[in-house]
Amino acid sequence: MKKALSIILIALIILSAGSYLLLKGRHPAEINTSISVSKAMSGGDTAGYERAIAPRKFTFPEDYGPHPGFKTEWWYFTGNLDAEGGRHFGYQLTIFRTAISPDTSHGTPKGTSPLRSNQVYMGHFTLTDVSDNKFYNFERFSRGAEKLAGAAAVPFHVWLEDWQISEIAGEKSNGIPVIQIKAEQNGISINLTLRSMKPVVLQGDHGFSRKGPEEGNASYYYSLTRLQTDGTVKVNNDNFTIKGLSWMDRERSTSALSRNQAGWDWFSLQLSNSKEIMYYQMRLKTGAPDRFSQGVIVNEDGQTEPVRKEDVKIEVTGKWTSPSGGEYPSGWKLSIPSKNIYLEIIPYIRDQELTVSIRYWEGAVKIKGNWDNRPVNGSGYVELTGYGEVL
Amino acid sequence: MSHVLNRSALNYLLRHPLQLVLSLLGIALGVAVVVGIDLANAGASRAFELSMESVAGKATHQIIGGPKGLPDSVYSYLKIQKHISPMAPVVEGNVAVWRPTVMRAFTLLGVDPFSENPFRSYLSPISEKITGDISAFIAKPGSIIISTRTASQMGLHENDTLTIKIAGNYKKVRILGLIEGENERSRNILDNLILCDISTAQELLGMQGYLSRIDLIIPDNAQGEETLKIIKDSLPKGASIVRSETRTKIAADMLKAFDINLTALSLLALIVGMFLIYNTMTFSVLQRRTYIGLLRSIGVTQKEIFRIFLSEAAVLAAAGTILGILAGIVLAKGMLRLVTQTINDLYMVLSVRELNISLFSLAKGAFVGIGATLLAALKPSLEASSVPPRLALSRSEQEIKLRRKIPRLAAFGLIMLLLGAGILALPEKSIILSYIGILPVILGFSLLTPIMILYSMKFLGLISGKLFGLTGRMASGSITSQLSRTAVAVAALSIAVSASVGIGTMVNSFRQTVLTWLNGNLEADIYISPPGLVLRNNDATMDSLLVKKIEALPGVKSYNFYREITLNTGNDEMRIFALDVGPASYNDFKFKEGDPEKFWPQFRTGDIVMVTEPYAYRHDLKVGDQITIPTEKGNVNFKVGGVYYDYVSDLGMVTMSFDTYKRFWKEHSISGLSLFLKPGVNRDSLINFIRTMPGPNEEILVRSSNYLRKTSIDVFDRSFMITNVLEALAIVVAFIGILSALMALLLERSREFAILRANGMTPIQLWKLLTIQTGLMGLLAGVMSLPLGNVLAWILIYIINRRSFGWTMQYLVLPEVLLQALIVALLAALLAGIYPAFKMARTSPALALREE
Repeated sequence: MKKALSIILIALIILSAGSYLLLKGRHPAEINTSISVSKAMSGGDTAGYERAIAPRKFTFPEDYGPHPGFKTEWWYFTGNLDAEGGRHFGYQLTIFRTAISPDTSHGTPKGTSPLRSNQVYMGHFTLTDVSDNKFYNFERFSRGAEKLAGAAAVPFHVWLEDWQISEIAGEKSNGIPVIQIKAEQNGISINLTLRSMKPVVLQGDHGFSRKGPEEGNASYYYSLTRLQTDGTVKVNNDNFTIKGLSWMDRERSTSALSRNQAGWDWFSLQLSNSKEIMYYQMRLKTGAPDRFSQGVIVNEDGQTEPVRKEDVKIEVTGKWTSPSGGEYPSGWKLSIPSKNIYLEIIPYIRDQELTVSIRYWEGAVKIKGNWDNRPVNGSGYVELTGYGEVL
Repeated sequence: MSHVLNRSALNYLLRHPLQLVLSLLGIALGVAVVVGIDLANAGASRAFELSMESVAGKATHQIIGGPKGLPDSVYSYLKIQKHISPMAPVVEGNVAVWRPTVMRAFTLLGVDPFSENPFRSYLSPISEKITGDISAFIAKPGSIIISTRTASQMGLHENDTLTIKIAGNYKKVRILGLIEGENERSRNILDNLILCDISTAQELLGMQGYLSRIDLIIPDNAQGEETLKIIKDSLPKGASIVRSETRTKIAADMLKAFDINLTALSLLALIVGMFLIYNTMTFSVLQRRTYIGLLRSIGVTQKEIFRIFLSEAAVLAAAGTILGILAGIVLAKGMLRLVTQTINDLYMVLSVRELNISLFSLAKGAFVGIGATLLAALKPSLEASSVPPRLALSRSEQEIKLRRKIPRLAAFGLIMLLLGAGILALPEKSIILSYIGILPVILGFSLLTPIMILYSMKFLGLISGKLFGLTGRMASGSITSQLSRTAVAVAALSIAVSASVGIGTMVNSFRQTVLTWLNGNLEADIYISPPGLVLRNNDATMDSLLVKKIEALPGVKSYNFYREITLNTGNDEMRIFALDVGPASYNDFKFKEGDPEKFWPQFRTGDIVMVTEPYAYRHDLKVGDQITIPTEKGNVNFKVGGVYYDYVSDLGMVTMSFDTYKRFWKEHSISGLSLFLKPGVNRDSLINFIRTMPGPNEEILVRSSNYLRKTSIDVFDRSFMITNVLEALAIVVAFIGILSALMALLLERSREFAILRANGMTPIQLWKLLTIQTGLMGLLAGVMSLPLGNVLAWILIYIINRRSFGWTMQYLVLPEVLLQALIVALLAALLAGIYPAFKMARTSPALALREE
């Protein structure tokens, strides 16, 4: 009889304890599903887009602006900045434009919503704080609608929300508009004025830059290789007035990489003798450099000399393993023996990998060496893709 | 020893299987009702939470706009000029899909995939969970994503085209891809969503250039305060920033009264059940008095006796509860449909397709069932333990004891009634408190039962004697002479029946009030509106070109039109009804407070509004008070010029003239219109003509006043369906309880009947005696249930309904409700008499006498 009662009692205790735990333990399961941005931005179809097939004439200011007929293009700013007191910074601000569908897409009616757009903008903003050994990197997306993001040639303006690249009205330098770039996120900001010290450099064959053997696997590509830069950098609560040099790359294409290419190593080097070198090495999946690697030497007056793959020797002098996987080269000896150029290139800091939707390494580098038997030094930027993940 | 005792108790139960079954059924049904309602409620609120979460995500704040929404530019301005981040623009609406023939409601959720990551993690980037090529999500109009489960339920695949219905318009969309939630929770959320880009949602909902809201995550610190200030300072008039839980809370509040009332009604069923359990247990003790006496005389202690009976009750409770829980789950499936239907009719679009059987609900049911049974068994068990160690206590002595106690019981009953009245009279708006107040009323009433039986039997006994002679006198005499038993049975029966009288009277009064109101309210000939998914809450608007064409139809003499909008006042939702009416329709509005003569002349031009009765009740408003309305020109104070009767929505409404509305809002589409026809115009053919007027992909509701009246009352009836089901269940519980109680009562007297039989009473005579006796008890219970039932109805109408919804109803006593009560009571009692009479008649008197 006692048993029956105690059984009921125990049952009641278990029940109430159970219900208490149930009530208490009602933590919502973590919700985890997603729509992939890269998927939203992809679309392997190249039909309906303009292609880079042959050299064409560049016209300015139109070619500062967007070319929505191509699938992708970018406005790529990198630079090395020195604050008073010797603190060194590197920065990157890139705005990519991607067309999700060609404008003439299969006769689909255009939407009536002002938010409708087939243009998506992606932005990458990084700051390398050398003395703190810190690399800040941010990514943003927005649609090219309702002033959220967009690009225009006259007046020159490219923006992704409040990341802004714009010309300063009425100011020109070497015939090129003076550009202001502003970006801010999570307490890191740059506000820079860029004056071009040289004319536009058309890359490849008059701006037609082949990346692979197939027709159309190429881009239209020009650069501003020496932009005198002034402004401010803010790192959390510290403001720095800086001076330095920037580089702008403008490239548009519909398809670039071939099936057997894994990625590229890209060098933009600004040297103390007022010359610049751009060189990219397309890498095959086998690891060997592709024959479509090429570059350019920009002289003091802006005159250019092409650099072919056969002219260049690159020796990797260091390696860096990303904490999120992938082994990157980290340090090079780049030489162009025919011109008597021998340079040693060392990253200012080793970890300058962008951990955003596309993983790549884009970092400030320090250069020293000899140019025609004279010592030179300088800074530059190196971009390494296809190491962290296969593009 | 305890083993032996337990077994002997078990033997007793097994020897009376019918009684055992009935007791179990009584407990099981009570538990089933509680569990059923609780599961249904839990299911509905879970669906509600999911729908709130699916649209609100992790946002802490939301920026909302006027009737048309929030201009896109607000978003880009805040983002670019004010650097506010993170923010996510949202465009949402309710849509319906018929496939294959069943209507299913969805939330069309238009999002910007690039802003979603911090907010709705189930929509965030980097996922392999989406199948299909969704690259056109942003670029291609009409592109949607639905969940894998929804797709398979509806037989849909990637690239299929689907027709969805939005506020009367049919739109074609294409399924770009299917999304699968990673866990059950995500899956449940996604099941009710049609996902698309904000631009697609704008196009589908006709909201080009406008957002439903902007979601924000603002930390709760000084920096957050600063952000809030920046946002507040840059918002256009008519837009406001609110905490997102406020919006959830507002929506949850809508359902609260509804929820509480359902739960309370289910508990009422359990209380009825408790009375019956008490009844059954009491009789099982009474029947075994001799046996208990025997046990006591062989040395079993009082404590042990108490334990035997309590553990017997516990075993019954456990078995009954398990049965009840199983039945409750079955019941819940039906209930859930009714609950969801009502919520959809009255409050919001909620789609619940599956019952989630939460262990918590079951545990509550088990707890309540076992607890109630043990509680009800406590007194009988104590009584059992107090049986003296003699073979039997003389019955007459026991009855005398009760007689002496009757005045005291009655006095205590009166005190309880006063206590109940006191609780109910408290100037409180709490619904729960009102239900608590009902308990002492019921208890007080049951304590008054013995005295009422005593007095009414004096009168009934005379009649029964006149009608049935000696048998009649014997029957009535034994009711009073065995008052200790009969009083309990009569009280239980009358309480059970009175619950049904109370609920029935309340529902009928309500229904009649609404009918009367509808008749006075719908005086136009034809009513036209866009179809909405929530019947009583429709913000959809009509195509203005179509409206112009309808107004210009030759048969139309005059017309009224209106616009409905919902505003968020920061901590509440305000429904504005902007009305353009001619003087002919002024009489449609019956003022509860305020002077129509003074009100109408100011209606068009003054800053004056009238509010519905529930609105005035909820917000404690009187005529002459000011209310602040967040218009597009900022917060404006309006004078309350009248409070009028309205039964459309328990959330209440604020009514202003359309002219006033136009002064404060820019967007002037209309939500519906009513037409008065010229004499001689055929209404039905005009209705048919108007139905052909909209374009092929548009739909409007064109209804005659009769039809509208009918659909309104249909909705009313639907929303009280659950109440009716509960009422019916309470009657069934009562019926079973009374059956078992009366049977026990009669079986206890087997020996007495055997003596009667031995003395020459024929089986027919015995049957007559029993029938008259149970009939009298049933009649008594039925009659007594009428006053209590009406008291309950009064409390439900004037206190609980008012506190829950704020409506005034006419109290209406329906003869058929009262008659039904009498019949149910009488029938239950008579049926209860059949089996014992049959058994008595069959048993030979000698055998019955020998039994002990």
